[in-house]
Amino acid sequence: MSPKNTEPLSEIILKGVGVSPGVAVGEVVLFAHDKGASTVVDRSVSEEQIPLEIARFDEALIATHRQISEIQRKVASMLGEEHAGIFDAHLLVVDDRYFIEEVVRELREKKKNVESIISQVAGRYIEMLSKLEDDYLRERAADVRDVTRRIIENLAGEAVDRMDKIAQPCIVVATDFSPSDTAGIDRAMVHAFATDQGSATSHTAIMARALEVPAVVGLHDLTGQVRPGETVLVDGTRGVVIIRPTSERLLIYAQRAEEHKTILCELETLKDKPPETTDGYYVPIAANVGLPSDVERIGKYGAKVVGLFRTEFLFLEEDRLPDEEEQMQVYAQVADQCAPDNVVIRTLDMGGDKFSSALRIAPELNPFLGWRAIRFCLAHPDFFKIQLRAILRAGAGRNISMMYPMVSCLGEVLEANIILGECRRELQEEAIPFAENLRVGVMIEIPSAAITADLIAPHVDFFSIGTNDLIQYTLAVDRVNENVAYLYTPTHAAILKLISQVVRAGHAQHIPVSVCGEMAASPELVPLLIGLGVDELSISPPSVPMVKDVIRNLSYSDCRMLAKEALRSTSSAEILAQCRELLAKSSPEILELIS
Amino acid sequence: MAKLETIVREFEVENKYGIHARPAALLVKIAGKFSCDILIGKKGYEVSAKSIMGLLTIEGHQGAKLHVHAVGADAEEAMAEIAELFANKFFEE
Repeated sequence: MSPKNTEPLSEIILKGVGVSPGVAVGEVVLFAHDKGASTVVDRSVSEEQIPLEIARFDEALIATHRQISEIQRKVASMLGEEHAGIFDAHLLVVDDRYFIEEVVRELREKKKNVESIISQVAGRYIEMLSKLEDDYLRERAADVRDVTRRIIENLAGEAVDRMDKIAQPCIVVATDFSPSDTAGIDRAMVHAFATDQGSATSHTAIMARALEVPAVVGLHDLTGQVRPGETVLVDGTRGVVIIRPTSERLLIYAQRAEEHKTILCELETLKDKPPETTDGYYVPIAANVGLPSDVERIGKYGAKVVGLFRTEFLFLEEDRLPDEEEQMQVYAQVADQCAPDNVVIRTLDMGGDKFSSALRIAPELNPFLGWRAIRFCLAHPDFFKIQLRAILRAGAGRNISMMYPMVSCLGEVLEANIILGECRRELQEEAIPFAENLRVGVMIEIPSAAITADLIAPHVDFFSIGTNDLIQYTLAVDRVNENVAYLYTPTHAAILKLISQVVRAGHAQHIPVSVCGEMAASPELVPLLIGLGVDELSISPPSVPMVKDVIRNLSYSDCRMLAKEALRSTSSAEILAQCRELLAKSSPEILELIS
Repeated sequence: MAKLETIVREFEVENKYGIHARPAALLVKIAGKFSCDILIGKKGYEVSAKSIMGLLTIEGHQGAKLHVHAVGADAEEAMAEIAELFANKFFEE
């Protein structure tokens, strides 16, 4: 039925968004967390992919036939032949030449993936059956549904549904990843990520950077174009994925890899040099860290301080929450590794896209505007106290700070500080050592907090601007929705005004203001942030050498001028162009590397 | 070349639950043994007796009268076996 020995398929180049630099070549493993879900993805296929779809269909039919025969055999031996008879009918559905030809014919006509064609064709039969008048005959729809669902499941059955099942080096391809998908990942096995959806600031991107594996997102239909076991090349630096790369292509990449190594070696020499502008202005660079194991690697990139230590990884395990002792150990260990430098621990930022099953947060219609982070913690003070006590205890004799995420008003800060005060009192009564003068800051990532930063500043020790969320909330752009991702512009006048306002509010109270979003790792935007008066940049460790190189070639007065002009500009594109212009002047080779 | 035989007969479904999955499976298996085309159904709606998906969509409840239409070299043998199936109520009762 299917032309299995078609001529070799040609190389396909897909353009997406490169979100984590580097190049990897390997075999594809398809990842699908909703395996067997009732929703079937409907996507178009090109003329040359049709034989591929037919071959997939063929393989799924063979697998389905085998499974049903197996079930039939088991039922026959356990319950008797008469009960196994129904499976004869199921097997005949799998073998039904008319049905198969109908699917293949429609596949060629409509040029859609075989899953959607099967469900359309089967759907028509099911509809016809459900219109029959005889009750008993109408129930046959269930048989058709059962078999076609099994065929569709076998089509998706090539995918793995958990990262920890991956046991060989590979490139993981998926529609998208959720935070819990990426939790059990083995760095030695997963050499790169590539996804259909997502943007530069989606969770997949952040995770890939934390893991230091190359990643490209926003490839639209990659999952429909590759098959498990095929070779793909992921170029996270240029945002390109190449399916079935030719040997010429691989050679070019091998040469480039050599050149890249040379540049990285040059940047490596910056490791022990200070992040200081040509005119002597010092801009500390801190590291964003998502896993304790990442802390030991930050020094290698020339960072010392941890400006953002995410604690969500502690809460990703199913059906289990970490206790105070366990959390305390983790925080203390991280602080010891960084000593004498500071570690900023962010309290739990769960909810939204960072869903945890152990916390049983019901799915929300609008999770980004929902019950997450500090809101969730304030609603569960007993739960929140476990983390606060752990941080206070770890802070005894160690250089630890703490910040609250997702703060939208002063009230929340005051409420959180009251709970923190209770924790202090309890620990004192229990005669357990804790940090007496723990520095407490807030994340500024909601526009209302940015606008009222002057009201919040007197009650905290520092601000950390989370630009990813601040941009998405201010511009009302879902950063994961590829249809509106183009509106996600860090140089929007509103964003610059808010950052400037937060800096001024902070400095008026003599508290430092850092930026811990992706913006701080963008070489072209670093001069702008410095010019706006930001005191510290906190970024993913692998970005540190490049940002440090940028800073060391800048002059602070140029940055000030750039920011001054940007605040007057009416066009975000123009501001970006000015940023690039400055970078072209100060670090032309970096500008070339990133464009 | 063998001359094309065309045989048309009408049967009444006698088994209690009509042509549900198991009887349909029997019919497909028998029809599949022959090279002739076999269509089954009512006026205006006929499906191949070799396709279980098609067979399931016909209104084959108890008492229904179905046309069977066989065209091909071995149409006569095919029709004989199908007749036996209907006469024996698809070996159900």
